[in-house]
Amino acid sequence: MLEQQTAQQVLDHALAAGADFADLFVERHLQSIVKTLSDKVDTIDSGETFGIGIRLVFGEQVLYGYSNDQSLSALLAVTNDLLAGKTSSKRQPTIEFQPVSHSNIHPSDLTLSKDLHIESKLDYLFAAHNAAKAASDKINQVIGMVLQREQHIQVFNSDGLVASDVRHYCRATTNAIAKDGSMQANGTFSDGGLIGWDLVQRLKAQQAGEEAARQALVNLSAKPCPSGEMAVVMGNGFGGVIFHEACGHLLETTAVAKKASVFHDQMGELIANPVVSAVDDGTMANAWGSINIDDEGMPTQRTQLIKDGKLVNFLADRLGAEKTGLPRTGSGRRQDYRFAPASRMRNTFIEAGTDSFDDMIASIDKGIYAANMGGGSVKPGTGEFNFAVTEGYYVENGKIQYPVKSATLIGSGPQVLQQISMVGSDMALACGMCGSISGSVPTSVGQPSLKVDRILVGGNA
Amino acid sequence: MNNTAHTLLAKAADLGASADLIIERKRDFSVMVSQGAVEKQQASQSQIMGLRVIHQNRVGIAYSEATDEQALERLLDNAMTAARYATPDDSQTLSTITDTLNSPADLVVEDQWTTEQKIAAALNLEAKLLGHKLIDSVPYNSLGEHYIEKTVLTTAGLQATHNERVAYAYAAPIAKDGNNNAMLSQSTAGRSFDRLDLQRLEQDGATAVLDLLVGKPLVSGRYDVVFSTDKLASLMSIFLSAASGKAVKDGVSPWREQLGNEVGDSRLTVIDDPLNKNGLGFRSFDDEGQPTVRNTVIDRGTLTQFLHNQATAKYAKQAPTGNGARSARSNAGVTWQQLTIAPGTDSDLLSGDYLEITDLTGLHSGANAISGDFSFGASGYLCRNGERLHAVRGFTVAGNFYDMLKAQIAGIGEQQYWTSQRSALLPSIRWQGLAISGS
Repeated sequence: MLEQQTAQQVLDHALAAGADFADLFVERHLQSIVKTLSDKVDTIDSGETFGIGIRLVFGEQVLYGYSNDQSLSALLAVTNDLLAGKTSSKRQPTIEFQPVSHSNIHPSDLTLSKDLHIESKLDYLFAAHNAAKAASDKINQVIGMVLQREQHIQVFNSDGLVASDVRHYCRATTNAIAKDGSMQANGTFSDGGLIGWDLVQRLKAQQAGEEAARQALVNLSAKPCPSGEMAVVMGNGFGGVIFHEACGHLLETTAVAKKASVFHDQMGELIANPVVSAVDDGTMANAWGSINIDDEGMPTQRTQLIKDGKLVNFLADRLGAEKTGLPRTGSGRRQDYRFAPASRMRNTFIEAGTDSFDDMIASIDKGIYAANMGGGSVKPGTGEFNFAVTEGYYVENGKIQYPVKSATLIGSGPQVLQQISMVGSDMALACGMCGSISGSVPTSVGQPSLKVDRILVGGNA
Repeated sequence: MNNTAHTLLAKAADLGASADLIIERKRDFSVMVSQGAVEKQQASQSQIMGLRVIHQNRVGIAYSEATDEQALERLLDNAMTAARYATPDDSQTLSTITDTLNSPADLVVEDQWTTEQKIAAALNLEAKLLGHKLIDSVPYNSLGEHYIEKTVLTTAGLQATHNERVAYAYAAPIAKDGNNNAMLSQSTAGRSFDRLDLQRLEQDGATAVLDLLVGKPLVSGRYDVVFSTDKLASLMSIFLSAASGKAVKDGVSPWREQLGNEVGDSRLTVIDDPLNKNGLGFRSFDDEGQPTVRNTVIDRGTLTQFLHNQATAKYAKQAPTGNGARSARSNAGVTWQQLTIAPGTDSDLLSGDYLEITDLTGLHSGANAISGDFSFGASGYLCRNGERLHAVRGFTVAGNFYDMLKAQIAGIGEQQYWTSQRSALLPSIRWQGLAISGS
């Protein structure tokens, strides 16, 4: 990784040219992807990326550049390119670094730098394939993938901070496609964590294959989904995408600081139904969205966002904290060295309540049970969000009736948070990738089962 | 760099492998402005090398951003290791072309814009938008450019280099009136900053968001729909992956047994036309060095061919079509280069009542290319006889794309339009009776 002396010279140079703050993000990133198609190996690829991101801050203005070359001359060249047009200069004392240590609460043993673990990954994927195929002769194709990453980071900044960390990520996915005549449908099982291939110890290939096949077969038999405003029960786990889109993005200071969030002036206000309490927690051991330190070198933390319906915190990175006057929350994240950091979610979830799933279903005259969800998106400026139901059921007279085809649910964050009327006790997390201004980062979404009294369901019936 | 590349390929050949090496170099600049000042300015250069080896019909891929000798040794070792585990597949093959190819020089159009001028243009765009009554802020507003150089070299002796420059701008204003608000993003792209129509970006962006602000709810029902060119291209791009030879080879394309059959309305002709230089999707050869051609995929409703890279072409016993897509990090896939739909003859396309959809949300999550089902959030205009009556918002549109192609095309317009990114050329299409869910 980068020599401390080189970092010192680059940061000194930036401050001498008038920067108020500067930091370097050094990243060496190993990745391996093993893909199977049916009972064959599709592709195996592996690679290494290396780069250094340089951020210079002048007041509220950020200059950002990067290089694959860690020589002093290359880093000074990038810095000088960024400084072009900046005429102010000031002498600064030489930065004295004070290394910051942190504990690693995400143990991993089967790391990528030790071994690619290809045979073990193929054993898992083929076992999942066999389980999916055994579920029904309508399962036409099974696609498997194990992604493993090992990200080494170093952060140096002009306040003298030096911090480093190694992050091990692993995620396994099985996608089954069912076919009947000209009709096709699919189902997916995925699990992952901030962990090495140690993940295999909790993966169950039989369960993965059977679950992917079950969803595909359910979707193959699904009828068109009714449309219109109705009550919806969201399943636990990936159902938490509703909170991620409807609220989470609107609480990032990246949007709040520029008043591009409808919640920017709502601190302390009741923004959700009082049954809703929500957290963004970077400290959960081996969880997909966890980190030890954020990409600005700050130890991460658990941040209560909403308590009994009341907004109590935003997610703040360094610049967001400076612009809003709020405390930093260890949420400065980025995809890789090509991106300047921004405030981002980690493991975001609605906390468990006391309602039972059966009571939620029983309370519905006409509505939908959304058992599994796909991704979604939001316009932070208005809070208008959408997300997709990938396994859904029509509910009538308090009973689940029949599976329905995929549908999108849309609404606005401020409204839907008030419409959450029942919250179950079966909290679970699920992995996702979240795309925003600082790229695509691993995040968990989560919730117990919950009921939304009214939301617009976009069906095709 | 070329000497290093040739040395690496020679070592792969010595190990009995055929190989191709992709070298990507990028130079980027962008500026984001907010509230009358530069918020973020970015300038960067990067490079990456990606090696693919085929050894005894087994493929291995490895990539690296480091280009020192050790990194290159690891690159070859990792690719050969990956190949050892791969299932033999005798369709895996590389181009046999031995030429030196270069993209036309005019894909890199230089201009005289200084950094200060680019910043000034972004600030001016924000100021002009804020000059419209009820536009409250422009939180996302940027001007930028990419220079891309992508070279593919093979053990057979091919060296093909594609160079291009793309300049772009986008703005996402927020309009507010009391508690009511609206936000929409608009963008434009061209070969140089001189060719960006920033005035139109500002005017269209302001009109669209101010119209949306007073948008009304829509009553649920079946509507005739005309998508804007951008949104039609988005919809098509998701589902026309069914024509990919890779999706066919992998057994996931719903059209894999439909070659020669009707998959669309008899008025529909869909072409991949990478040789139309007016678009930014122009390519003279693909990422495997295969010269591109104009491919008619759907001819008057009949599926006439799939798009292929080298491997899928061999698998299908067809000639490669110039649609190989390979980044340094991955094996070759198949891509549409420049989607084109032939103009129709329906001069009365916009007669009567219909719904014009100008924005779709949830495109990445609300569509299933396996089944064809989709459901998106949407906004647009209720229209009559070509005139917009009023804006509508907060509804969803749903359907099955493959069914729609066959049974729900009401008409195809006579005029083709480029998307705002100049990446696809499409006429307007009127779709009959799509399911709209609203109030």
